Amino acid sequence: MNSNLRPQELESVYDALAESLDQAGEQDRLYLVKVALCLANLTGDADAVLNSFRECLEDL
Amino acid sequence: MHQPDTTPRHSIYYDYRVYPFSRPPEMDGHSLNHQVVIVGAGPIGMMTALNLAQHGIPSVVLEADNQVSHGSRAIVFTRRSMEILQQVGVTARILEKALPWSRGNSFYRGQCVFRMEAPDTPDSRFRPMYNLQQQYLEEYILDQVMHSELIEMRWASKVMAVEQDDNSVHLTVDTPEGEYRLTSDWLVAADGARSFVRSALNQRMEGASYSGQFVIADIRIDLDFPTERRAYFDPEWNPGNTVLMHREPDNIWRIDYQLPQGETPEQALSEASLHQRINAQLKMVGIDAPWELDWCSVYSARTLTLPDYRVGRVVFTGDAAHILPIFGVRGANTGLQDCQNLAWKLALHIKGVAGLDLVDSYSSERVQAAREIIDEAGKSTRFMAPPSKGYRLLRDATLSLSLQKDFVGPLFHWRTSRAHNYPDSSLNTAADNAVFASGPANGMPLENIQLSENNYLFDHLDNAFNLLLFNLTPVQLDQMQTLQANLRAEEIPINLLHVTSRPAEQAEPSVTQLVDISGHMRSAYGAGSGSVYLARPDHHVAARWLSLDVAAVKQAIDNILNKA
Repeated sequence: MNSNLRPQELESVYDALAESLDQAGEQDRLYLVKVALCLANLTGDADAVLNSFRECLEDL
Repeated sequence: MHQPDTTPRHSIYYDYRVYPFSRPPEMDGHSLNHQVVIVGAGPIGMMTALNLAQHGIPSVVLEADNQVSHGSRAIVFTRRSMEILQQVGVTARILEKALPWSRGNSFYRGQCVFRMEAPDTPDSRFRPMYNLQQQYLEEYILDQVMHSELIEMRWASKVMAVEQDDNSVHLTVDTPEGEYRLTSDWLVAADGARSFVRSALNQRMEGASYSGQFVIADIRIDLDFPTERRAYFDPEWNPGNTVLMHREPDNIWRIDYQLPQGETPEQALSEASLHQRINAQLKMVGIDAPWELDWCSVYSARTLTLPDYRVGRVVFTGDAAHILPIFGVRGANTGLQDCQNLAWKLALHIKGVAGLDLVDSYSSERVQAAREIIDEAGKSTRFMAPPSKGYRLLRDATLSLSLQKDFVGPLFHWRTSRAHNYPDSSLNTAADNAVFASGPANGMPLENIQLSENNYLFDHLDNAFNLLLFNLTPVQLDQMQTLQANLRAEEIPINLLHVTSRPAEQAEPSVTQLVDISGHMRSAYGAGSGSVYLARPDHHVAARWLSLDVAAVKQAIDNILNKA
């Protein structure tokens, strides 16, 4: 099953995340960690989550 | 000369008693060879002595001090610890004094964000947790020790040197009347986190130390809160840190809080600092009542264990063997499981009925348990006192989410000390273990069962191999009694418990009859007629059979004793 977002949905997520980060202000890091935990729980797939954590460490 | 202070310690609720030094025979030229010397008269040392005495093994307990524990120290005892304490007969007094509890609360921004409820069952005589100051526990154990003719307490006796050869351990002991030498076949080091025996034998612990330091303060105050554990995260008066509150008997409350980075223990324990912080905490929970300080101390969280608990003829137990963070009540409760595991093995080895491998299984089983505890305690510690930027962010995010999202509840790591299992122990025999539909599996402790009012399975267990026999025929029961007689002739302690739905009017004298007309115990143990559980003297299951095979039972016991 391909559960990736459609381009339009991805764009909305992109904008919403950017605006939420601005809104979080100095708490942007805390905000991101909350988001990561919530999304991890929503996927119900710990392997996929851990894999994303590894991938996102690259090219920082 | 070693001269411990002979003034009773100060306490606003506990009357300390000073135990006198009494000159041992060795100081008057008598050369005695002891079988077991135990260093340390804390709960673990004394429990080891009591447990050995139940097997007929005498011991000498050396204690540098002359009074019980200074301050409340270990205050929470688990159900499993109560079962271990019941085995040596000290629970009656504990139950009169201790405060039972089963719930824990985590507070954040004035809201209870997570509530833990420890599972309780009418099948247990004991509640999940009991709060009791360590002085009381030590006093109750000591009373039992004083009644034993096999235990010799030597107060004000400080070990100065430890040497060993292939056959003996030699100690130099300092006392108020000077030094003397003491020789023993075995030495049990129960001398706590700062174990002298451990350093004298150059034994290094493995593991991690966390940077956070914590104050423990016991105050007497009238508070209306129920006996439940209360954890306050990120309180306004101590930002980013955690504060714990616990009720103890005698109207004493334990307040436990982390020190701000860079503060020394001396600064933290200054009267002004203690008063300011305790008042701030009380104010935060809405209390404005007078209080009085009893005792305070500073500790740091460490997760360390020796890699091997036997070094020649010296065996380490309790905090001398491992140092565990107090989050999760893992100190004394782990030590009690250690000494219960050790005593019967050492006793049967000393009596010549078991090989040295049995003593070594103490080390392998309990080092493994310590490593599991370190793993679990590390998680609690990383939540209570985050060791790095990443852990702090995750902890703060979890706290923030907890106000609205239940799924983060388990991340509060309320896990507490549990009974450890030894599923991979070399003492286990596979037999029918895998095919039982229920009941404690190999390596797990037996599960208590309420048989009738105020009558539980554990009340009938001996410090022996306990064989639970379900609905045997008279012929089978006869065969088991023959096995019992043969094993007892070899000094192997065996207790037969016949769980029956058809109680005999005249029970066999060497068999304890447990009446189970409803079949409740049979069903909890997944047992049918003829089923058998073999439990070790420390209650852990070593083998189980769906139907009786006397030769296989004998073989499983031989395997434990290393005689197969």
